[in-house]
Amino acid sequence: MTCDVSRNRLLALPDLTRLTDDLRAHLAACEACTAWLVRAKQLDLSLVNLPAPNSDDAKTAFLESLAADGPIIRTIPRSDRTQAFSFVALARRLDWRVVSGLAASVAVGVGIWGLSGPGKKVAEVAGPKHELLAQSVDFVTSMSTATNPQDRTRLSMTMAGDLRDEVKELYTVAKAEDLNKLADLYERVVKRGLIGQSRELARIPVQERHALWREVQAHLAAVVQDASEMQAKAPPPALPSLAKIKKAALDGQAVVNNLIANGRG
Amino acid sequence: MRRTLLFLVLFACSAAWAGAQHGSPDAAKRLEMLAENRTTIEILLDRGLDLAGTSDYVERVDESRKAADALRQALADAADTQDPDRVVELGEHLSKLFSDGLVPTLNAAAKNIPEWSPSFDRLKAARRQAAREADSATALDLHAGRLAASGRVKDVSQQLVEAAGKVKAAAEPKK
Amino acid sequence: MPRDQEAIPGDAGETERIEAARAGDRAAFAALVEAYWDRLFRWLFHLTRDRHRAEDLVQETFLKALAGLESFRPGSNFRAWLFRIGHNNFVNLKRSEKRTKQTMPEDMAAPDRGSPGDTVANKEALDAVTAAVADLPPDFRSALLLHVQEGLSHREVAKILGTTEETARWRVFKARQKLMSVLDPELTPNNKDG
Repeated sequence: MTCDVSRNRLLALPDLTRLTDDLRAHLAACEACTAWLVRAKQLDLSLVNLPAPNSDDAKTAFLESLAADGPIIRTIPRSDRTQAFSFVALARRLDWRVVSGLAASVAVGVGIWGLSGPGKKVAEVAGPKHELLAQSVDFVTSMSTATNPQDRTRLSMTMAGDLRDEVKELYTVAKAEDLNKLADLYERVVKRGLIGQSRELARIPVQERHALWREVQAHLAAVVQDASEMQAKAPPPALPSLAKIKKAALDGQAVVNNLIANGRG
Repeated sequence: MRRTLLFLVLFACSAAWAGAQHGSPDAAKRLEMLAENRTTIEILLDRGLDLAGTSDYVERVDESRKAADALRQALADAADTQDPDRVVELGEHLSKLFSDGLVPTLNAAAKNIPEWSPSFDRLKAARRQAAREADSATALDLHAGRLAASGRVKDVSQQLVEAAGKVKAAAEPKK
Repeated sequence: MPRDQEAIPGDAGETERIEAARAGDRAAFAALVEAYWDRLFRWLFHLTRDRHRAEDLVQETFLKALAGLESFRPGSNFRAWLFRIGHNNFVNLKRSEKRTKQTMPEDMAAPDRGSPGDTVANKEALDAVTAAVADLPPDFRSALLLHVQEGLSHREVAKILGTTEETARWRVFKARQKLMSVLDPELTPNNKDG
């Protein structure tokens, strides 16, 4: 291990007193890194003891206002905190790129205003919306009124499909942590929703349940296929999450195949 | 003629700029949104899966209420950070979940749990909690600072008040 | 000391105080103010580098907490919730000061308390650390102090700052690395491999 690696790993430790064996071994053989660790510990200690002024008066005043009856009022006088206006200070603080950008915006704005005529409002532009959040809201809202296993199976299948789509969009760029969360959620929706409800289908008429089980099979087969294709192109950190998704789909397939084959169809 | 041409050029530039700002989100934006909403999404999905797994009317009210509570928390955070887009997005979702999720579960429970039922006390507690949370959703300050300037925030705030009103009406103990 | 698990969200007494405060008991809320004022103030002071601004922010934070206690999820981490409100207030303050073209002060007011046993060398070292911390970008300063001073895990820091755990970890790491390079340039990585 080089000193660079050792020090960077020390910096990343949540607690400098809990060293791993390989770091301990390096430190035993390296005086420079040992000295560096001592300094790093001193730094943490200094940070813990970083001085701050006394705020007892403000705290007491606030607590008094809290103890008094009626609404809480602001107790800290503000008069001594106004800053004198200074053109020099202002000029120093101005970012001239911002000023020129602002001037251009004003010019464009005035131009549009002049051309569009009086009385016309500029419409507010809506920001982008998170599709997966909307889909999750739809899922829980629809589940609130879904009272039979057919509906609950279909809702679970839709949600599982939405999660798969999100993974397909992001698997080349997402951090392993985010992708792993999506894989976790997919696994949960398949296990507890799709498969859990598929088992409940045994109670409905035979033709209907067969049709729905086949839909579930088709969804899971498509996910296995998608996961395999993604695995071929994915960066290494994405592979465990894709494997988890694939396994969840394969396990689900096995259960559904069993349901059909074991006379419950 | 030149004025019209200038207008068209400006319009095209503005549209392109607006599209770049607010069009279909690219991967980076999607990732950002995923990081922002991950916890809320997880709660919503878990609550949805719990709803799928229970036929107990009071539990269904509670699961739906907890899902709404997750959105309310996220909305409170968005209001704190004065983000109008996010307030609108979350406010719409919460209104929908109140009206189309929580209210139906409250109605189903009212219809199926008579006063003499052993579950009635649990239902009363769930109703009280639902009404209290609907109140605190409408108590969120969606009119401060930057939010005050947005007509869309004003609309969604009104929508939320109406949806919370429906929850409170459904949570009123039936005589 | 920092740890990488969730901090214990307060003792049993705190849970009761929160419940009582939710029910409108102001004395219970005052006890929460007593418990958290100093640590919240210390953190916000190092973010704003201004005592009065920090006091305003702490007060604002407690007022918002009082108004929003209903939305606090019982059983979750009260400290993290409180610091999150504090962070949002700080972000709002920065935004409004940007709009009005004010900036946070460049130099800190001299702290008016210190331990009498401090040696000159210790004081100098502490001054150097204080100055180096003040030079860190606010996001990094904020994450580092939450992690080291408050002993919060990276996950809790992320929740407070509204970012991902990975980003919080990265900010703490970079902030420490920067401080080490400022305080001990001859001992920074790349200099002494061997």
